[in-house]
Amino acid sequence: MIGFLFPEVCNQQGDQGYKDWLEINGVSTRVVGGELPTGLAGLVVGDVSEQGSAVLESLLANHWLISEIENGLTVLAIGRSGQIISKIIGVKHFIGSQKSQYVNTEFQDKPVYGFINGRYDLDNLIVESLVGEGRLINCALLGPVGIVNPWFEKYCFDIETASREDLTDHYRKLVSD
Amino acid sequence: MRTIIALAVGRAVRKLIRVFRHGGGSAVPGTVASIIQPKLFQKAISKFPLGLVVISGSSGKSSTTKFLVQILQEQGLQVFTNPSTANIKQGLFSAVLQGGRGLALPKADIAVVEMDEAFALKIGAPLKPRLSVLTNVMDEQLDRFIDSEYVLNSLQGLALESSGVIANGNDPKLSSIANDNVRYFGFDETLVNNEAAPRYAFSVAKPISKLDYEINQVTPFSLETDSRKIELDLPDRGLHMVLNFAAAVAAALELVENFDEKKLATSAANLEGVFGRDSLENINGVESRILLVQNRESFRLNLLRAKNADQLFMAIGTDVKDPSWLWGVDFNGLRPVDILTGHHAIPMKYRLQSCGVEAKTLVSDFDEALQSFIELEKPVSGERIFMVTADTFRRMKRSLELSS
Repeated sequence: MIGFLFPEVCNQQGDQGYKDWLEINGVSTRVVGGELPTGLAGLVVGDVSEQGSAVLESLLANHWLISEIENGLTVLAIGRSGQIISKIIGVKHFIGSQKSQYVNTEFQDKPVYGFINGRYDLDNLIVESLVGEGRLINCALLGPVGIVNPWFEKYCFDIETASREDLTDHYRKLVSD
Repeated sequence: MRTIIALAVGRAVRKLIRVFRHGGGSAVPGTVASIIQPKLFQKAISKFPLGLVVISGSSGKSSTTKFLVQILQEQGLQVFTNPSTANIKQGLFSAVLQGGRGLALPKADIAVVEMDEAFALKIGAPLKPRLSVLTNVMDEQLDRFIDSEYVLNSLQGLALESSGVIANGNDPKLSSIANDNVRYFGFDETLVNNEAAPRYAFSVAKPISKLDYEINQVTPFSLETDSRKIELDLPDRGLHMVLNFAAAVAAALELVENFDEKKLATSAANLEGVFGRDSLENINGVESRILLVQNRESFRLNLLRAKNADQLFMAIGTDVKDPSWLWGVDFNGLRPVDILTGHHAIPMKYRLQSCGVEAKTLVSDFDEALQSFIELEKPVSGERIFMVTADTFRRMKRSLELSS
């Protein structure tokens, strides 16, 4: 089961739509919050607004997420939420100047397409940190990144959903336009 | 002298453009006039004895402006205004050129202008409006604004320079507007929880609990203040339009001495919406509803208006800079989309698919898509609906020669 953390706060640009995508493709999902659910295979933390950043930071104080990463959980943190979680668990994160654009970045030697909106470093748009037995994948590319890039979804959560080559192509063109 | 030259040259350019391009507006005359006389708009509004009203916010600006203009005109005032969406500098200057003749500035009692929320601080605030009407702050065009806090800051700047403010008290972000003269309108605590009532950008603040203008009934429309209760019939255009109307009534009550409620009822009975904002048009012999979707929340509200659709056309254009927000719209329960087109038809197809909604035909060529849709058999029951973004709405108007 893939969890979606605090959707009332972490849903700045369509992150929660990824939940629908997984569900329709037969992947079990669940909204999660203050209590650790059973059967959690991965966790998505959506992007947050400026005010949402402060709220998320306070919600994550003494939160199970921190210990669960240590125990082997994979967390895909989108946009600013990645910067907040990185700060809390003490792993390196990168902040650059304000950008709002389509991007094509390389991660694990493969291309990833998407859109960024915030203060990010173009050389470090996706940063994976190993924390104990788990992973924090800090991703500046917004919510639909796992849908636009099927291999990235497989890399993060070891799942495969419906074919959508035309969607990846659409983003490839948007980046090059 | 600069003013006269700006008016003469601007109007000449306007005339010339209209010779070659029938109908559609253009920003060029306004731009030319603004270069010659940067204070043209300021000079025009300084002639209006009742001053300037600025309407701004993420959405609802055009409808609120149009409603307020109609109400004030019915009350006997001559109103200067700008056309819908001509709401940045060039649009305001073009409105001055359009509003008068020869070398004269427009004549009116009052100016009621819609202003883009990004320009509220930069253009609106220095004009020191008599009244500002703040509709809401939504998570909209984040590729442009970065964060809804930016919009709030711009509206806050406008409010600080305005003599009076009418603001949406249901929107928690607007509850913190710092102006001693702010008065709040909104739905009462029952209506605000209705699924068709607008939802606003995330905020840690709370909405206003004691509203100055409270809507406590929709049918008939009922607006209550400390001193009066207004009841009248409104055409059904959805709860968000009721809220826009309430904003306009609240503003009019602030502006007009000896306000005539009977005339308000006449305005309500004859209320005209903004073209494309839930408007019914005869297209190829079929009464069709046009729903303009501009952001996550307007999409959600318009989907509620599309429940009765028998045929559905959806076109997502280039104005959607980042299609990520489409993934924030819940399409569950929507009927199949007959024709899907536009620059972002492909991401839209997958978003619909993720909600279990079929896109029957995806057509990459917009004009071809439009033609195929209007040539469908007349719907037997239910409505023919066009759900379009700003870009595809413009293309649709041009292609079908529709005019407001």
